[in-house]
Amino acid sequence: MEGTLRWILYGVLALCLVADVVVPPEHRYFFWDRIPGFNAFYGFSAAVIIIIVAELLAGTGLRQDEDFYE
Amino acid sequence: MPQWLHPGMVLIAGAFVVPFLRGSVRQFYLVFLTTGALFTMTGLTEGVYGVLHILHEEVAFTRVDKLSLVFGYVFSVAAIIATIYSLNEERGWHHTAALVYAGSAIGVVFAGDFVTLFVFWEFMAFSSVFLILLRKEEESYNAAYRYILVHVFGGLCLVAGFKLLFMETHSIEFARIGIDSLGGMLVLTGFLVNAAALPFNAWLPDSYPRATLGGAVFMSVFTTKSAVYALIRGFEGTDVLIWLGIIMAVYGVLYAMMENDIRRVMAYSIISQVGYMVAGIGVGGELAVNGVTAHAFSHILYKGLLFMAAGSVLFVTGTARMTELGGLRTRMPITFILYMIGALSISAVPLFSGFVTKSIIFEAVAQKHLAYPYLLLMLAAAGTFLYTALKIPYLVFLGTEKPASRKAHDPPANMTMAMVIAAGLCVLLGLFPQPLYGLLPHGMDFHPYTVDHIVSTLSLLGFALLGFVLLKGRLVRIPGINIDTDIFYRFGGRAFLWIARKVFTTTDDFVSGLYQRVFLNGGWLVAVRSWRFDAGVIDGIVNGVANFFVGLGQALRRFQTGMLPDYALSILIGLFVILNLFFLLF
Repeated sequence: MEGTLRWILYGVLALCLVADVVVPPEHRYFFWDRIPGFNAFYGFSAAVIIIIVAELLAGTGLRQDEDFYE
Repeated sequence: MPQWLHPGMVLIAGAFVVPFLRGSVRQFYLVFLTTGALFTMTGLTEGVYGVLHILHEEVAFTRVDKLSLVFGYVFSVAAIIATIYSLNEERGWHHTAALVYAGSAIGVVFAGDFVTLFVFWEFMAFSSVFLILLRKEEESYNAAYRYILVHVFGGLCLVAGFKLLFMETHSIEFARIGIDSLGGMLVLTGFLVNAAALPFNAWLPDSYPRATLGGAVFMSVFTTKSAVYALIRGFEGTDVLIWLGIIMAVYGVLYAMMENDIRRVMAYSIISQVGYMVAGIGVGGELAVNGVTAHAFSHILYKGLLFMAAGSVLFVTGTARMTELGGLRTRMPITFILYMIGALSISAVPLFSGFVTKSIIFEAVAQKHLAYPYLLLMLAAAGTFLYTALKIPYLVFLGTEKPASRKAHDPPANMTMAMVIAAGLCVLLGLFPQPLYGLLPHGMDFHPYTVDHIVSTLSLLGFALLGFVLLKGRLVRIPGINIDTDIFYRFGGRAFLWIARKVFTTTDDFVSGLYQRVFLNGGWLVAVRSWRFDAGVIDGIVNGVANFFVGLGQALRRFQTGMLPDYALSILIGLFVILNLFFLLF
């Protein structure tokens, strides 16, 4: 079950990537609007960065027991 | 019938009837009253009403224009939804507090001048605090205390700022302010406190998760969004807000990713979403203002929905901690679906409301060629998707069942109904954005559903999903709380108490020592030398004086064991009253 779901996900992502490369942007406001597949790359990097940074921040002491203030 | 009726005043006046009604009559009345306020709103036409002359000043009680109307509409709709959600709340005064709060927020958006604005602003703070207190847990009392402290501070900044502005311009009209003067900066600070901007953000995640279930839904709507309205009105195009908003957007995402309590995740999510709006206000211009207004509109609906879903989980399971939940999908199927609609809306997935409103802000940022802001807001957009649409569903609704989730079931009908209405509006807005666009303050020709826009959004979110699937083992999944900027006033308060204790103890020791040396020793000497005097008389005097000092010592001791917030609050309220009098009279 989970395996099938995973393959469906990969299939959908492949389609997204193809579309992201093929569809030309409406406007070219920024330099990255010229890079094919930039949105896919950025979405993946953003997720990785946020999960890792949250994990690191939680390890720095920003995360405390619930009775920290008592 | 008068020519106009203030919808906020309808709610405030009607609120005090609620405690005297019972059962279904009360429920009917609540729905009738809130719907009535919305209908009053539709009867308003643009213009200035209720001008009073006070102290040679024209006080414009009500100003109706497109900007205030669109906020007024969404506030009244939210009041209806949140009221339906809290219909099973038995305590009449809870409804009174909630409706006065909602009415005051509507009063804020229709206020034409500083005086009216300030009065409603304070009403908001002092009515909403009851929504925290009425949860009746010790932590709620403490959080309510800190909540009111922070808002009194914000109110002080506002009133001081208004007074300075008035001395400069001799006008109390609430129009564009700007930060060219000290007065402007003080007013900005007052607004930012309510917008939960850094570093004044911590009151929000401190208090909302400690409010009652319905109370949190009300609070998620009014305080921050009325501040967004006030910021649009007073500070559109102020550059510093761009970066402030971006910091809020990213900060909110990171903290939400670390949180364990669903309602605290939602609280940080508000900070993050309001960050988009604050950044948009900083960008300025017609498109940006439209974007911010539209986003506030859709945000109120989906954030209300998410808070209602989180509240429902807490209501049926007794906990909102993700570490104690799991597998709720089969036990709360309706809540799960409705939650997902809210989550997809906030994540700006095509066909849902966030998509058609957040994109206007992005477009405004892009048209000004602000590259770094654009990239960081995109990062936060991916992050929003991570914690609302992926992390919470993964940990709470999917996964394995924990003991707390065994007793879960879908919440009572009124709570489900409120969520259905909110979810329906989220989908409707997503499918048919043009009616909302028509309500916005400026005319615009904007079409969110272009191939490029749909594809780029789906790629961004789809690959964020891939990142989540690969890294889901590294999510922060430990019970606990995040240290936020409230540590300064929570531990700062303790430092003050420690100093106070030192001072009082030293004084106490000194007084006791004085008493020993002067009165006891002195008295003894006098007694010995003047043996002819009746020892009883001397003793009587000495004992009397001694008792006085013992009493004084005890009084002081009572001070030193007193809670610091008591001093701080009384000092602040005292200052507040004195400054208000000062500013109003001179």
